Amino acid sequence: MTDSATTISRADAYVNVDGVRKIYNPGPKQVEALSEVHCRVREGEFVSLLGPSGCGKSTLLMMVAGLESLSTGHIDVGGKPMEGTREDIGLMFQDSTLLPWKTTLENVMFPIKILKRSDEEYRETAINLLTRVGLGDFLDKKPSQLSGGMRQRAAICRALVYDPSLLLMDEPFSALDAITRDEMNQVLMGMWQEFRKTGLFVTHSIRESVFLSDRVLVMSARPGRIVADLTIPFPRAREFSLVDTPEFNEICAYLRSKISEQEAVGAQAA
Amino acid sequence: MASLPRNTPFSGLFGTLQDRAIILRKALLPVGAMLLVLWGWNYVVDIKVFPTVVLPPPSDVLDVLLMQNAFLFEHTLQTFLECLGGFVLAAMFGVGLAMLVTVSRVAREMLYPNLVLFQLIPTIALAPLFVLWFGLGSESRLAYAMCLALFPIVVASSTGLMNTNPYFVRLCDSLTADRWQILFRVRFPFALPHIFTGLRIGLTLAIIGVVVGEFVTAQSGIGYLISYASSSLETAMALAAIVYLLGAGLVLFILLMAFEFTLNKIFSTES
Amino acid sequence: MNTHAITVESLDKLASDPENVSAGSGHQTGDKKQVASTPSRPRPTVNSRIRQLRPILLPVLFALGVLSIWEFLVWVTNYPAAILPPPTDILGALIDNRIVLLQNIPATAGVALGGFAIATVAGIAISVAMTWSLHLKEAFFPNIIAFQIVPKVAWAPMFVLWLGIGMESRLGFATFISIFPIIISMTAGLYNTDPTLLRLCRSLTASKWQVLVNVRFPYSLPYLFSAMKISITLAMIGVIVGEFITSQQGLGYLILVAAGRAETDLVMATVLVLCFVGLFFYGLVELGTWLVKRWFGE
Repeated sequence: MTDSATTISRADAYVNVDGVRKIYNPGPKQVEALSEVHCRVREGEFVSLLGPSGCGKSTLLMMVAGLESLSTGHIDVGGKPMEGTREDIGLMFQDSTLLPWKTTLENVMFPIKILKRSDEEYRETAINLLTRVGLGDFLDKKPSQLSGGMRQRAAICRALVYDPSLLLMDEPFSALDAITRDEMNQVLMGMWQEFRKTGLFVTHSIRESVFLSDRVLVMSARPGRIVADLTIPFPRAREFSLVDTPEFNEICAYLRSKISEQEAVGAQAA
Repeated sequence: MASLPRNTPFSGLFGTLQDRAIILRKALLPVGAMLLVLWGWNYVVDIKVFPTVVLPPPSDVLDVLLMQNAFLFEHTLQTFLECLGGFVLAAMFGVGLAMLVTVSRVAREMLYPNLVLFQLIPTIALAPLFVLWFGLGSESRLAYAMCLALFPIVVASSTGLMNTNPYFVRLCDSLTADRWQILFRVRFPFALPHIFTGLRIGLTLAIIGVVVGEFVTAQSGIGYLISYASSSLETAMALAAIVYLLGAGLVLFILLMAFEFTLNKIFSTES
Repeated sequence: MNTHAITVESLDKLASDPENVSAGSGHQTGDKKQVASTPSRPRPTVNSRIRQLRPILLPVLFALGVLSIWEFLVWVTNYPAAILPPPTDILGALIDNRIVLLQNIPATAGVALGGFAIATVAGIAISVAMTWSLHLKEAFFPNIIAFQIVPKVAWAPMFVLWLGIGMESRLGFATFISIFPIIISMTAGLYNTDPTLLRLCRSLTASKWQVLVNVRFPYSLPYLFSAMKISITLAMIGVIVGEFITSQQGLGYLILVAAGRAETDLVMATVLVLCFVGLFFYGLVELGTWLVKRWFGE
């Protein structure tokens, strides 16, 4: 498996992560969350960050979002260094974080309100997005009237409505039951195939990462490093039936072995 | 680039420089704000915005606190004892009533809704009535404080006692424990947090009751002192009395906390 | 050796038609058991009706019983009505003195409502200021909490000293006593907004003001309304205590005067009126709370 830093040149990459370290509580009781992470993501690529809990993958994602500071290293997105938050990044979390007093449509329009863009321009987009994910009849319902899966669908629309160039997702489907999760994978796949945003997706589900991504980056346990960079060979326009094929399961098995390797190393070190 | 951690001689104490900065900020700011208010008070008095009758300088208040401490203490002691008495009575009756209501379904159905309803009565307004019934002495203030503090204690305690984890109760039932055993061995220890929440509210109300009672009966005690001093325009004395009341209140709450601590110790070692 | 290839066909054979599952053995297709028809509901008896109404009947009967015994005992023992008037006397006093009572309601209720309103507005403003500036909050919030230790009623005579014996001092005191729950609760609500949501707003480069208005403030409304319940009660208490001290007008003053004249029935009648006023205000706040909950979609 090749190291992405060497095969993708800096110029080609849309997201560049170079030698990033994150240390909490510097001093005698410091905790190293991330150690020397290098990775690159091309424009329009969908890349998953796969790893066990606590390996720092969420921290890395927050750094790319400009929400977390770096101890060492350098991140740039779209050619410009990350020095804070930006208007053209879309974010999704495990919790849909919809505002409970706003309707579904109002929630999707929330970024437009914050970014002070014109309502009329984006309203149709919002309605279109919601219809595409199947929430066309729920525009004026409040989040308490939607199921967990529906709320995350609304969250996808909210992340896309203002046309960001980079989509960052932090385990968005981890809180859903297995069946809904599979559904959501297909929904996300559909949306992504239509809009082709650059995507960085954090997950601890091997199956999810293989189904959704062009590349899967495996992270070690804390302190996190990228230990494998696997390009997923399946062509785009993937059907969900793919997950039952032997090839798919081979790849999952390979990734699983990579992860258990890391857990063994981690256990030895502990 | 991150700054490298510096190893100063005091690194061990209070952690890193950043930790110490945070502690400093969290402790200094409120103290600083209080000092600012005191200084502002002094300044306002200096530039004579208000007559000293309305706002005496802090030094005057300090004077009274130091010079008249025996006098103030005497009144405070009386108030303190009345608060304590009223509270203890309310606590005993309150928790007792809560236990009765928990154990007996009939008592619960008869009494509990009425008790909750009784909370709606603004018992504060009954102060003159208690004077009518019990006279101007300590008894009326004790009874008044007890009545004020009783209802929150009963309601909070019964909520705690009745809402024990049903699995524990079922376990005891299956071991053929009777209602009183369940009450004392299971319900009571688990209900302690609720009971003490109720007791804290009760103590606050008992103190309020004694102070208001003293306003109305106007004989002795801190409440009387505050009332009398302000009507005689001895503002510094009134403020000093408030400080003493603060002290008495603190002592009462510390006593309650100590009691809570002891009970928690007893019941956690038993289980 | 009994190895079976697992194919879709073999799995199909293993799956059973859910409609044919009957208790126990596997019947063949087409053999459907009769589902027992639901038995007709038993007619409600008097006993079961009483059992259903017990939670309401018992306390009401108990209260009525106590009232009747009270009435009876006073009548039988000729107990001085100055100490414990029978319930009928209280009702009588309520009706006889209705004009005086009605005249004094605005004095008490109005001041309480006014103090509460000012406390709410000022409390919100102060909480917002402390959310805007973290330094302000860290400087003053601990002091505000510490200040809670002193029972606020102790300050009542000071307000008379400062603002006289008129309505202003009672209004000032009512505001003073009811503002603290609002500040404490609302600041907590403004600060305790869901951190994930705040992260989302940060990533959208939202300004502090935008976050405050669009996210923090709505989230703090439940906290505000639960504090308002406490505040309105405290405002009433403040006004009543103020009336005891200033002895000018209002229902508290009426109680003082009536007790002084040993007209205990009037005292209790006035307390009854106070109950209703308090209930009314509390009900208003509950209404507000309900509306906010609905807006939140709960």
